[in-house]
Amino acid sequence: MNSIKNILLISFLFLIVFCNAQNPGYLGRRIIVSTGVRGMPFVGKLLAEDNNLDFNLRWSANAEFVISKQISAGYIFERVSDKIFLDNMSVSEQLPIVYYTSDVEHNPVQSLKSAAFFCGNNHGMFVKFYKNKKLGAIAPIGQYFIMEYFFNNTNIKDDGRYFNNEDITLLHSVKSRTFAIGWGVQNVYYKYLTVDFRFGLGYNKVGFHAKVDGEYENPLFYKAESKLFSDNLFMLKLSVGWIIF
Amino acid sequence: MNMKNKILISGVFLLLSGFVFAQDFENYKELSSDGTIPMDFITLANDKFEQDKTKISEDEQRHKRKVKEQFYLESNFSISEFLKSGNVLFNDPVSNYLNEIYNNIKLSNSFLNDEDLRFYTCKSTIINAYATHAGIIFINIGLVAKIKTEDELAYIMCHEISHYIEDHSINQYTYNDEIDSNKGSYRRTSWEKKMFSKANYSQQHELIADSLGLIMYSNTNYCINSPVEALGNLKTYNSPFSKVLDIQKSFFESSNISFPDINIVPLDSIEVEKYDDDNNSTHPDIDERMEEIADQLSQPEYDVDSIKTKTLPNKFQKLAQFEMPHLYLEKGMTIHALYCVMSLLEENPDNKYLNGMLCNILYAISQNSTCLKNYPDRDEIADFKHSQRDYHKDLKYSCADMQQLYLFLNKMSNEQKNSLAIVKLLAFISDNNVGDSDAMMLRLRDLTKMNLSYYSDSKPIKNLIERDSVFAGIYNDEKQISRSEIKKLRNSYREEDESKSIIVSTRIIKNSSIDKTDDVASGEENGEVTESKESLSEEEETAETGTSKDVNTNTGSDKNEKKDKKEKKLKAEPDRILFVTPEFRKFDLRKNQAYKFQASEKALNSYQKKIEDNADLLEIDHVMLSTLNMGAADVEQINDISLINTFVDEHNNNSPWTMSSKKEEIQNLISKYNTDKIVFVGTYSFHMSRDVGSEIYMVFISLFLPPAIPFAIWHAITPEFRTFTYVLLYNLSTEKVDYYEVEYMKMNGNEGVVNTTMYYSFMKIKNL
Repeated sequence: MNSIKNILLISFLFLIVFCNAQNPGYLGRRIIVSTGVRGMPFVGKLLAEDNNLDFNLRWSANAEFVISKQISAGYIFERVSDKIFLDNMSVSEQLPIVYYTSDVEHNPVQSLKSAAFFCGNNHGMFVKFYKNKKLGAIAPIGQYFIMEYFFNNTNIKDDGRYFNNEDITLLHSVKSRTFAIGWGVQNVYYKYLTVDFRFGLGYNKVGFHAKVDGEYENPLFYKAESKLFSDNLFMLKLSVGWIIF
Repeated sequence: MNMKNKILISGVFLLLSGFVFAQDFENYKELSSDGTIPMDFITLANDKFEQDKTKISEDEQRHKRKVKEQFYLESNFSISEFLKSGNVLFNDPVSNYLNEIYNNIKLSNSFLNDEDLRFYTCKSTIINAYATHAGIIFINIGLVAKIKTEDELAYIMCHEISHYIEDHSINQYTYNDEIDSNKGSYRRTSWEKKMFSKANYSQQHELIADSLGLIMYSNTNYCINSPVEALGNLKTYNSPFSKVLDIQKSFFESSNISFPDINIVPLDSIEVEKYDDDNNSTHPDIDERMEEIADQLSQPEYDVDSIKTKTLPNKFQKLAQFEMPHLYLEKGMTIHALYCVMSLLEENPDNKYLNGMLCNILYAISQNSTCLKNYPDRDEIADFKHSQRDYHKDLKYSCADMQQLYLFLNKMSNEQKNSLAIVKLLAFISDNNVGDSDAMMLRLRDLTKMNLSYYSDSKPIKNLIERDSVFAGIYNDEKQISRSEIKKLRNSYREEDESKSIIVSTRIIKNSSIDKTDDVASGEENGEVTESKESLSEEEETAETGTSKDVNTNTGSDKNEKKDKKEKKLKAEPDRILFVTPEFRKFDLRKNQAYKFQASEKALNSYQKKIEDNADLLEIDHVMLSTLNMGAADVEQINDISLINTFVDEHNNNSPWTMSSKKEEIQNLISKYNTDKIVFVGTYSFHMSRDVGSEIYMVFISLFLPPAIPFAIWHAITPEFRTFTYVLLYNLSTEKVDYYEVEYMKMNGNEGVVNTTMYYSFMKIKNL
């Protein structure tokens, strides 16, 4: 599966790069590299019982190629690093070591809380359609409609409290895919600097089923997988980039 | 000033005027600006505005200060635009003459020495003059053409000077603002009453200017009776010249052409309509004004008997009159143009310039008429059709002799108008030894080409073909050319049809004995090729000689043509382009004063630079013709801009098939800049309020989707943006628009947006 995925990605990239369609880009320049931040306040709280102000921030690096007057496409790499919290013991079937070593009479609640690292990489491709007739846009400037397809690799790791190990323990690994659509606007300043702001709606299959099917035996796994749903459902993304050539 | 000094000064003035450059009317050259460009044209409007702002007293009420500031802003920017439009002349003979008259007025009115007044001539046929707050007074050519004496001109100038001295323009503006503010007594006033109040105030200003102007005028040694006569000229505003034109059929008829069935309508049977008695006019009734002046003159301080009664002639009336025909023609007012030329020809029957202008006008009348008759429903003439309709409707207000001329021409058929134009053109060409490439010859060819279809039935044309070898040659040439053009059209339709071109190419491949697999690869089966071979044979049979090469078995012909086309395109690149007066305008439609004068002017500088940078990026050879950043010595630039603007206006005001009357000058311009392509570029950027529907929609979304709240907030506080960038490419040789594009973006008109739309449009121009 991995090899098919890689072939697809590389073919996609080659198709874009070697596209000979006559198009202007921005002053003839067609390749933009950018970095951005994606997140959305309150969604985690609403859907995945995250913290109140969980922004679910993800850092990303993008490469965008202008294909024609209205279309650009590219590659996106995202880094996820988050923490999930659980009210009760669910990371490990054992009581955490702190339970034994700390003054539980005075600090009982804390020792029974659980937390885990939720981290991983997403990478995928996107296509932007810069609207013309109604809204007016010429790639890479203007308002656009975007379709994205991600391959998500998510790992759930112990935060060091529960297994009494020196190393952080990998508890669970999820591979999933996300399909997202969105709307955004991109502009260029000082001839090279791009600023891109967009809003999106995504569908992560694993996360969707986790949410719909209900709670798992292991609440941590349930929370992690349903977090995939809430993290990708609504997203705001702000990117800053540079038009290289 | 005592009498002795007055006589001395008049004598010096007369002597000086004797050395005024004598105009060559035989080879008349239209007026253009000359010498050093005055500071009025070079100084940025924003700088003028900042200077004017210092004149506003700090003691005034805040609201009044704001209103005055707004006035200075609007006035300075409007004047600046007008000055740079190419319609205002400086250092031309008429403007210099006006400034001489002003010096004379100043000598007798010493208080004017503290005022810095400048007089410029406007290329307008309207009988009017305007005083601005900035000390600039514009006098229209139409007024100079109408006025017979220098004395009358002097009085009109005194009238305008009075407007300036009394600050009438700013007073009117503040008064109008007070009325429109709906405060105090104007709170419950109807719209009609407000209009009347404004008009009444303006009329009072006119009467004050008449009176003060008379006082100033009376200090000079011009004829005291002239003010009444000067105002009397305004009664006949509907006639360009003072005298009545005697229209005779013999002017149009000759041995080659006659109009036995058309008669001239008697003058006394023509009714001249007047505009409705309009209380909302900004000027009082002329008779009232004349009475007021006559009353004032009857006062004891005006000792009419002792004051000079002999008038000086208007030295430049004739020159101004010579300007009128081409000014009217440029506006598409062909009847007025013809009227002026006929009037001038009465006194100068052999004048070469006037006879040439007559040919231009008759050509335009014929082409315009043919266009309206033969192509009434075509999109490209919609605007022209409407403007001509309005023009003809308004002719009922013109003087009786003008209407007489119009009625005579109206009775002519298209063919008669065309024949008349041809006869006159032929006569001019033979009298003046005109060469083949001359513009007159081109006009003759144009007329012949447009009307070939009826020539076989037209008696005058048949006669001309028999008698005139030049015309016979042209007629036969055009017939031949049009035949081959029809063939080319037919062939181009064939080539555009994709399926046929594939068939043609596969047939050629087959005939070249290329491997059959090529036919298979092209998707053509043998059967299809066979069928197409038969159909091509039919085409070959019906095609006239010279066309069959496109479909014959000559293997290289199709490829060679394509190769030739590619080479031609490569040779044509890069073409030089002349960018003309780019514009950048910003509007904020949320405010009362929507146009952002200062921001627009400020952005224009960098906008011009963007145009040049984008052209350089695409390696387009270009020249920028712009009034921004002009030096004092760039008078040629202003004249060239004026010529181009005139050319475009004329193109818009006449039919698309009417050749410009400025063909010769345009050809010189093409040689000067080594290009025949001019490009107009502009960007309009709008800020506007979002509509209520979209606001409600965002609030609704954010209620159901709290994560969308940041979007809703951003949506609520930011305006909606629209940016339009247009690019228009005119070909001066063919007088056609080669390319026109408007790129529209729903974003703010910042650097990125402007650059991207401009670059895209330039790229398309380069690939034309």
